[in-house]
Amino acid sequence: MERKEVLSRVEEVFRDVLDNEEIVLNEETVPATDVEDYDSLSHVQIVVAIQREFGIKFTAAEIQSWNNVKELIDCILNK
Amino acid sequence: MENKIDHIGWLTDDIESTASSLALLGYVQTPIVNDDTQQCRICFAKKPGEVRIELVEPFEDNKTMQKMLKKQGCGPYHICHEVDNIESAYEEMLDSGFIPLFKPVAAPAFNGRRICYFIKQEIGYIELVES
Repeated sequence: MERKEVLSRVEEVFRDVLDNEEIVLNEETVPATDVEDYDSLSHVQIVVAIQREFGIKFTAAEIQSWNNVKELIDCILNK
Repeated sequence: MENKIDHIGWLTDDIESTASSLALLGYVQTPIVNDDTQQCRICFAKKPGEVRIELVEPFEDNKTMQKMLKKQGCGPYHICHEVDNIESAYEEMLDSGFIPLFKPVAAPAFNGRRICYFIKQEIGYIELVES
């Protein structure tokens, strides 16, 4: 799987969960500060949706380790 | 972990209207509390011998829960379990793959007793409240 494809699919998850087609992600995006209406509830909803989208499971340590979208993508590709 | 069901969490866009509908089924409403941390108005619907229902009406600017309401409509969305030791229960939930929304915080609807929330893909939302 290429990084570009992962980013595109992650972006689609964000748009679907946050019900906002205007969201644009890049690897430098820090969701907590850069994405509108992002909070602790939408964060876990997105984590679950990403797990479902890619057929993977994250550990609590992995979830807490992401500072930006790049680190999330790294984690997905390492699964 | 030792636990028992404390309540069923019920999402609503009109707490008074849902409470009056539950009154037909014998439930009595408690006073409404504003929870500024969770950005919701909250009350309980109680009926002797039954698990109580927590009615949760998100504030207008609580965008995430307003979206949940829009997607699923009014209805149950979490089950809360009372635990003796919320710190150790929190760690046990993490170790079992539950994803936390936040660490235990004092909740006005529970007279300052601490709560925490989790989600897990296989089960949905679970809340813990300390006894």
